Amino acid sequence: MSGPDRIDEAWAAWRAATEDEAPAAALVERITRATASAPLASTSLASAPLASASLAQASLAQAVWRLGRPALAGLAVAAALLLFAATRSLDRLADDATTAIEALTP
Amino acid sequence: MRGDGSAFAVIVAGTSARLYRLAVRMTGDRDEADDVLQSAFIRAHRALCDGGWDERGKLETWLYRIVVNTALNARRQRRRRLQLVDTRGEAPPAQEAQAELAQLMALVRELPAEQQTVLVLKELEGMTANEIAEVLACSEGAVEQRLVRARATLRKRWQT
Repeated sequence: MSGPDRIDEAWAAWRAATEDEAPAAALVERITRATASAPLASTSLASAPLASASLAQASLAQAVWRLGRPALAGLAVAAALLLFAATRSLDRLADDATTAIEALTP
Repeated sequence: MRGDGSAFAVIVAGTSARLYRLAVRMTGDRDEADDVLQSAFIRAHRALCDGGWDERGKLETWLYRIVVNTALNARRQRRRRLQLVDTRGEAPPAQEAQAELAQLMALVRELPAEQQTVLVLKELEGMTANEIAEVLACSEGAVEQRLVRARATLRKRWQT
């Protein structure tokens, strides 16, 4: 077998020897605990495309992130409705006042 | 909008296996890979907290870049330690295939950091030149050039 072929074989052996490497559960737990306290500042994690389609769990992270968005949208809609209602109330007050003034006006 | 720790926990759960494997392949040492993975995730979390991620790229690519940089930092520190203690390395394995694997690993570690990195990402992670360029934030041409140089050096130093 030639030198390059042997190098290729060695690469294949390296790949195979490390294919199943995985972090210990305790390590993942330690990382999760160490990063659990502070909130993230990122604003569009949900829209960040991932490099690998096979990364289903990371996509789940994006889905989790998206869960916050409807709540925010709901708050915005509620605020807009309140503002609208307040504006309408003022309009009605103005209309009532105008009607009253017109009624009092000879 | 601000996220929370649980979202990051899901990211850790979803990416830690791939990133750990990369760390093992970059460092050649599980204990060191543990440290690299932990440091990389903490750096990533801090960057997300500070808004340090520009959010234009792919999340996983960005995490790969952090792991690669952390592993290269660890490699530099390890070299300094090795110089201090004058370690001669491990005994060669008995079997021929294992000996060749050990030889390849040793040769790859002797390469300049940028060449080692592209080889690991290409030969072990199976990335395309374009994907490697994204991880390393360099041009595809630069990746190809490093690959050519690294492979040429390996062939020259390889002893059958």
